[in-house]
Amino acid sequence: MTRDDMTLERFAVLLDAYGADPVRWPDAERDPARALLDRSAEARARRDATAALDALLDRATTAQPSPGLAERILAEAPRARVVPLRRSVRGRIAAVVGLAAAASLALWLVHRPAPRPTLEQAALGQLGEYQTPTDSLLSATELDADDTMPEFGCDDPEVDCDDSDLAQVRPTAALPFMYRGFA
Amino acid sequence: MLRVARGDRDACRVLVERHLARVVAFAGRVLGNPNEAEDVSQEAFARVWTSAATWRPGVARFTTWLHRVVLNLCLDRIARRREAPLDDAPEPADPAPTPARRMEEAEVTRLVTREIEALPERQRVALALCHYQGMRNDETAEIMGITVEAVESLLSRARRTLRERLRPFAGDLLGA
Repeated sequence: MTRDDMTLERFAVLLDAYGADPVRWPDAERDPARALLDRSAEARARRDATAALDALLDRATTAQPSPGLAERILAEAPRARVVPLRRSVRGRIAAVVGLAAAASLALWLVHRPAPRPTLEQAALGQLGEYQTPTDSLLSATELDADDTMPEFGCDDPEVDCDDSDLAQVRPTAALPFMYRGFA
Repeated sequence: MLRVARGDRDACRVLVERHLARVVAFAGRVLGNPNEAEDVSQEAFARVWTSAATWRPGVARFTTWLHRVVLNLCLDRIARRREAPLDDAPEPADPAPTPARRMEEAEVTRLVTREIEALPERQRVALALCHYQGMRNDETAEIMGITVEAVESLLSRARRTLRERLRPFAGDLLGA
């Protein structure tokens, strides 16, 4: 709305609704209404009549807060949580120590050396594919178990064994040292 | 409001000092009872304290929001009054003085106050917000949940009614 667009009819509606004080008029219509007041005696007369009602309305009583009301309201206001200084400092130290420990653990997990193999794991590694302990031990000395195992007790006459086996007994010198006691 | 939510006592005090008188005045005009106006004001600030933590700046002007809270609390009380037995209803206003009698200052005040309280509820609320609380028409519309045109209509009817009712007693002031 431009300054010249305010009509007397619309101005009357403004006065009727908002009164004579331009402060209460809608922002968009304030300047055009003032412009109309400048150029229209009838607009000014209507404004003055309306101002009388405004003056009456301003004489109405207004409730005032009683003296204790503000304090009663403030008594219900939220309060900041007060943390004792010593407790606060202790809490911060604990937090820092905890963070440092966590950081150290993380660093160690990332950069730790690869675990060294145990003695047992090393021995098994050297033996190659696991079959049976006996096979491994024998293969290390290139002995054949079928050729070297003795028949138990058949060369001792006191045990009264069958003589037919004696002819098959091999010389003990050919046995590994761990079997010589049986020959 | 952010400082209020953190329990900043100075911020709470500033908020109360800045708004309490207007809140009490508005509630007083809507309810027509200063004691109830104080109760409503206390309830309204209790809402402020509980809402401070979730207050979102920029969504609404604090003053507009606060008036809406006060208005809702007032309307709740008015609704309860209607449901209350007659014995609990407020005392009726004094009978009107005779038109011929020249009115003293205090009587003018009492009469104007009484006639405003006698307005229909929505007219009274619109007048209280626009004339007495200094709200813009769009703010009044937002608080009341109606259009700007409806606000304008309510205001016109309220002022016309007051002019007619006050003319017999204050014709000299109204240019009768």
